[in-house]
Amino acid sequence: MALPYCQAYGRCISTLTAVARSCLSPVVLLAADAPYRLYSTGNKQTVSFGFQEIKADEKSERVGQVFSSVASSYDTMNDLMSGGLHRLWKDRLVTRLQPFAGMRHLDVAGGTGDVAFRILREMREDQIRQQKESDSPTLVQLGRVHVCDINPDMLQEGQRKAQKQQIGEEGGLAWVVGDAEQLPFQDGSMDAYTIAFGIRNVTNIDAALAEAFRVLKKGGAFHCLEFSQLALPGLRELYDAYSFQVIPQIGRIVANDEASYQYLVESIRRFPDQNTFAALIRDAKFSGVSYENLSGGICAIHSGFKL
Amino acid sequence: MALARVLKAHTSPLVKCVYSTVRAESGFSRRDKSADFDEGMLEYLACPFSKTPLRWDAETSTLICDELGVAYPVTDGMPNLRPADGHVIEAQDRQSSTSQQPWGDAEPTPQ
Repeated sequence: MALPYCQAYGRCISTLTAVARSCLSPVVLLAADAPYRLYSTGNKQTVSFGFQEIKADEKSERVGQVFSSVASSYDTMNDLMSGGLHRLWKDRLVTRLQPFAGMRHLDVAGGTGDVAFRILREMREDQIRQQKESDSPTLVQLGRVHVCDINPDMLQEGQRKAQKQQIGEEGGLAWVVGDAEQLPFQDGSMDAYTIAFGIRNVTNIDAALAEAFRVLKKGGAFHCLEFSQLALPGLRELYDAYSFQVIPQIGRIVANDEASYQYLVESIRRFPDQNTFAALIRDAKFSGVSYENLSGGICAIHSGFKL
Repeated sequence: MALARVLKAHTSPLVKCVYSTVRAESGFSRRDKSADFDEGMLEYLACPFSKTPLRWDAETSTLICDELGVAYPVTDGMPNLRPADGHVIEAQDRQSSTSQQPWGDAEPTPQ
């Protein structure tokens, strides 16, 4: 969809510039055309933004505002809201992934590096293990984790954290600003793809899944950690009360931003349940799709493979 | 008058020192901006529209998709490949990657 559109646009622009060459400076053209038309999807459908219905065009911008505003307090807030549980959930995601040395990995919406650092650590351990076992003098490659996030503020927060914790000093981390729906990576370039607490914020989930499928190598793994629907009755009411009464208040006090955390809890309720989401992944041509509930279904890890 | 002379004598080394520090720092950050980009990433990166490989242009600190003639900014070594942040570049720029205009400076027509 985007490709023919853009090619047509590119052609149109070259014709235009050829005609206008004599009277228009390219600097003016560049400034006038720059970001707007390239990305005008003309999409007037409505999508959910928490419990509100907004135009599809607006969602990425609104989500962008939420994350720019919470970037600096993101990790503290995660600890406070989940009681530290998010660390265990992310650990579980990486255990399922089974990183290996030399791996090419893509972590999408992983701005602050939480998942990427865990993966890189495992890759490094595997590298050292393999190095010890092998007799050949050639070095075992470490591989690389690509952290891709649509929000530069979140990525900068991650870079700061990496520097402070001295992670990725021997290479192995690459930071890229990019859109999950239009990934800036080549076809079949990645061994695995993870997205933790990110797909909920994507405007078009189908597009994001299709892109995940595209960038994966044959045999590549897809793992998605996301809030899901509690399976246990009774616990559900308690969880709802906590989400709607407590979390926005924590957001107000700690991050001084109640609205962003109101969005968070609403968007969790709007996200499809385990089976519906698994069906979406299957629709995106993934094979062997399965999911694992964490903490009684507060979260779920969905996995699939490109075969 | 004497006081002014004394003041001037004492402040000028300070000014010089501050000036050279600032200059050194700005020079460093400028160099940093382009040098920081890891060209090893080119093996995997692609234009978000065409999905074809990109070309690194150190001069403008951008990643260029030659197929579509779109350039993406690289800030502090971090490529920004959001579709919204790409901009269309001139046909001439695609080959030379410079902003020279062979037809000279022309007045833009008022819109």
